[in-house]
Amino acid sequence: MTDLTSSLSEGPNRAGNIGRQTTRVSVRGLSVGYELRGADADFLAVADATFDIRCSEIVCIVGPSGCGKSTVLGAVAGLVPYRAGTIEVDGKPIRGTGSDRAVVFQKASLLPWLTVQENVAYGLRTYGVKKRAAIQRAAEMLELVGLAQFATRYPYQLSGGMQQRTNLARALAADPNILLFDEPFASLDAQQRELLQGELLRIWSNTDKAGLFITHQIDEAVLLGNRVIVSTRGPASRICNAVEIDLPWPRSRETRLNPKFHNYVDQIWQLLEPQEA
Amino acid sequence: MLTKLTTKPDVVDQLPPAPRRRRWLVQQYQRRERLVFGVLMVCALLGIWQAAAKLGWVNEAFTSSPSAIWTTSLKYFGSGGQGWADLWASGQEFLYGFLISVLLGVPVGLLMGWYPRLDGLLNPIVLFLNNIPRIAIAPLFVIWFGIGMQSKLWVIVLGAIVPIIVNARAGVVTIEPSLIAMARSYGASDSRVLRTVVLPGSVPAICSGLRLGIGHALLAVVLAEFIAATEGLGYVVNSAAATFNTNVLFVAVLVIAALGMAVTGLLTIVERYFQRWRTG
Repeated sequence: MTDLTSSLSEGPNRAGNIGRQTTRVSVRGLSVGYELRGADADFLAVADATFDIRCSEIVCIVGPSGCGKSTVLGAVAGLVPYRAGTIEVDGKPIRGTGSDRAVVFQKASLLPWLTVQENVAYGLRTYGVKKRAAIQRAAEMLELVGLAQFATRYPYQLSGGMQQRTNLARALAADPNILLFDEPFASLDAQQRELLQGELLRIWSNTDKAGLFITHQIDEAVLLGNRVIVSTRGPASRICNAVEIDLPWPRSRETRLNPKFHNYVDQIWQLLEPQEA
Repeated sequence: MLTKLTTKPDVVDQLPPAPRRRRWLVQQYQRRERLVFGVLMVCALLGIWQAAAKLGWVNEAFTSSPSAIWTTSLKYFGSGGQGWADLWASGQEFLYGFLISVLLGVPVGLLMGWYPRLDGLLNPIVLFLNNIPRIAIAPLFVIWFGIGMQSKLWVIVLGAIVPIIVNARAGVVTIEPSLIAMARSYGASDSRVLRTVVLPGSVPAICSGLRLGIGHALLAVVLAEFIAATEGLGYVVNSAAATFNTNVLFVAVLVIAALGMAVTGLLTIVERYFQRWRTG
């Protein structure tokens, strides 16, 4: 963690070092199962998932509740052990959690006894970064998500949207190559959600990071994703389809007005629909 | 029909006159209403008690009276009185016993919450201690350790440690799992998760354990001195009761209550410092 000043602020050219087409995450034949208490057979949550995420890309997974979307994310994060398949990050198979990945959680998961700034620095401090450097970096990230003047507040003093910004800033501060979003905007009201989607798109326009974004909202997936993976209902859910979203970058709130946007939403809706019945 | 909503400018200008500033005494009262009510209740009860004793509604030899308690306590804590010595003896037992309970109980409770196997191992003991009337095994300690400080400490620890363990354990078990997952996602080690998530997250529960522990420890101090002692507030209660000296008995009981309230008050200050991040 010497490279604290890297990323985010340096503009799109940084991506050139690695190349936009470089594969950052490669998931092959991933299966995740749980042992169910009292049952002889395992519960297979995800069966045979295969997908890639390249530099600067966001891949979204949409699907009904209980389709194992979050399980896939947990496996890539290294938090959930997987049964079969391979997960490679920058060409190397993952072993547990790692500083190359950071999760933006569904619940803001802020430590209530730390200030906003200390929460953002938590990941870095866990990596062993000295306090001053970590707080410095946290301050930059809070600036980026527009919370600079709330640095010394406690989480309970923030609104839900601000808590999720802090959650995002914490993951960004750790400067991972891969950001894993576990339905981070699901619990926000519609207005906050759109604002934060806009923020994320703005931040993402300048990065070579790869993103995996779990959501149950089709329009969110189309707006944010280079590709949208449509997952079937579990158990043993499979990735049935991947839709390339060919909308121009950089995207913003106006992207929703593009007629193609609605075509994609409709297409994905139809892919999901047969299972809804 | 559409009615046009307008505000006449002259109406806006005519704000209602500012309320006259209330009198200082009224303000003070409104700010401290709860306190005033509490004091009123206590005064009323003391008044009734005093009247009942002095007007002969009850036998003052049995009930004592506020004025008698007051004069007795002046004598008890005055020169030649045993008050300070008794308070010192009981206070010492309480302090040491409670400290041992905290130093043992908090770590044991935290570890039981964190390691399910340790929980399984120790759970029968905690369950046993929690469910027996602890008064029943207090005399056993006197047989084992004599009537000195040691047996009293054991009785107090036995009384106070159980709620402390149970609450510290509950504090760990009820920690929001997503916080632990968050720490783990950054590769936090067991000790870092314990230090930065589990321990601070358990503080509120630990504090309520300590609060309960104070009550139990005080009870145990009195109990231990009932069984075997030559000084201390519990001893005074016991010997005063044996000689029908209700005045002294009430004094000792009030001092015990004051001791408990003082320690609880101290704990509240500590609690407030550790929980400044909490809402409300």
